[in-house]
Amino acid sequence: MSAATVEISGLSISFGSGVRQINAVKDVTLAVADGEAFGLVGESGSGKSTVLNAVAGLVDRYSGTIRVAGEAVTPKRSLAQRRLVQMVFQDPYGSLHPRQTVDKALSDPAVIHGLDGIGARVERVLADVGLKPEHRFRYPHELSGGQRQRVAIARALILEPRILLLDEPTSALDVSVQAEVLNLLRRLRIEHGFTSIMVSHNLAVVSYMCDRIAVMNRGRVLETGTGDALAKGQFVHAYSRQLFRASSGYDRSLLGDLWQDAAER
Amino acid sequence: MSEPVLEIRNLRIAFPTLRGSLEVVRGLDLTLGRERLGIVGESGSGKSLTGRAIMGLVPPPGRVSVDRMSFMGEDISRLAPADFVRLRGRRISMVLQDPKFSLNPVMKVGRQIEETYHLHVGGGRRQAYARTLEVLAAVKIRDPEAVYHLYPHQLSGGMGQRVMIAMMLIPEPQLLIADEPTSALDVTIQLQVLAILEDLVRERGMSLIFISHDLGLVASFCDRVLIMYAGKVVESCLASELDRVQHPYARGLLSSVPRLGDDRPELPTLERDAEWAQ
Repeated sequence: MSAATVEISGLSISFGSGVRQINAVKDVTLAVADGEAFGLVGESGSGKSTVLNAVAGLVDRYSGTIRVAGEAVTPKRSLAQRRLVQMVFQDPYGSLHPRQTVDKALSDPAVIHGLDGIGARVERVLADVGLKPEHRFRYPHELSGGQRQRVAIARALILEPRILLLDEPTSALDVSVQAEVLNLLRRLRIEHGFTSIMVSHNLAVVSYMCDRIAVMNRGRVLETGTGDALAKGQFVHAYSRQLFRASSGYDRSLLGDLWQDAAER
Repeated sequence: MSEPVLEIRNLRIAFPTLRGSLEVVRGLDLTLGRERLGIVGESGSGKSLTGRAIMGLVPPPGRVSVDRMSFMGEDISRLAPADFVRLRGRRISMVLQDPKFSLNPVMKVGRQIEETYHLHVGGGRRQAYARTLEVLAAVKIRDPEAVYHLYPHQLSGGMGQRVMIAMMLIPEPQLLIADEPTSALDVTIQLQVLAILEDLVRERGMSLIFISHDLGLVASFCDRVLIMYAGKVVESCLASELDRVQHPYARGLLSSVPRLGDDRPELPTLERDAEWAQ
């Protein structure tokens, strides 16, 4: 495996101050190799999305260092640095401007970054994500949820990023549409060779999509292992095992531990 | 089996559109005993509207027509809205998806539960308070007296959903309709909420209609499952036999979900057949 494309060390992020301070991320250290598909799993409030936002440059204050493609980055980034890292958000209904056409949504990033041949790029990227030329001049409300998420993926890809960040990309979609989007993401990764970091609460989705996975809980990374190991339940930390069993369907026997846990929180 | 708790024959729900009337539930039959029945389908399949129709809560301009709808032997298909009040909340209750949008944000949760008590049971304030603490304890809230004084924004998602269920329990309904009650919750919290529902079904002999898009969850939690597509039930089976369903839509839905340890190079996607909707 080649050198790490994303290197996070000692990352801590807190919001608010004084008694209301929330330590969302505590001393997280991760390295994602070039071309790797990396996954972050955890429950709500575990800090997984905050880590992703920090990599994207969307968190203003943090301690620790983030290196992207070998270069240390800060929240204040150059255009070139921003182009390297692109993100797809969870909610395809909220992340597209309702009064902008698909064409506008896709060409704006290209204009900002001063790319040439924008029309051709838009056509190419639409075809890449499996949309038809006629979708180009539609508004988001004229598209289905799956199509909107394809537009969001296209918007990230038009800049040809080296790193694609995926924040729960399919959790707002029906399962049959989820399958289409997951297939698309897998195919694009093979064709374009980008590195991806995917955040999800769905263990099955993450283990299907990712080479390596980190389990997060209450701001910390508990352990990191291969997607295979996660799927086979070979993670060792008690919390990861609990998450694994709870993800396998309704199982009453797990309950005793959980109430215990709830009492401690 | 004894007399069914709920029986529905040929339920149809239609909404007028510019291009004529659009039928979103098209001839649904359902017989429910003392059991946990799962209704599974994708968005737009009509599963939520079916739940709402049983409660008499289909929003206008939707029109409901049904050949027969009986609850505990009583015909409720021609019930006037004023008469529905006698049933709704008292004998048939509903838990919705997101407690954030279903609770009053500017009222303590304890008072909201008491309000339900006053409406359905009557009684004095002291009794209402005692009963409120009781139902909060029944949904495994550790410190009911403290939670009584909290506002909805101070609750976590799982706690909010438990408060909602507690509220439904006040009148001791015979039928609970839960519309995606756990899809906004983390998996471990989801498990706790489901266990509470299971206890209620078992201990109080309540019937449950569990509406969800999550096949795996329904298969492991419910006794029986209906799979809906385009406003129709395309397949009905025991939950334990869900992996042996026949209908191509049901099969497609099952196989499109990645499972733990999945090594298929590509997930099969649903090829929708126009014939399924006929």
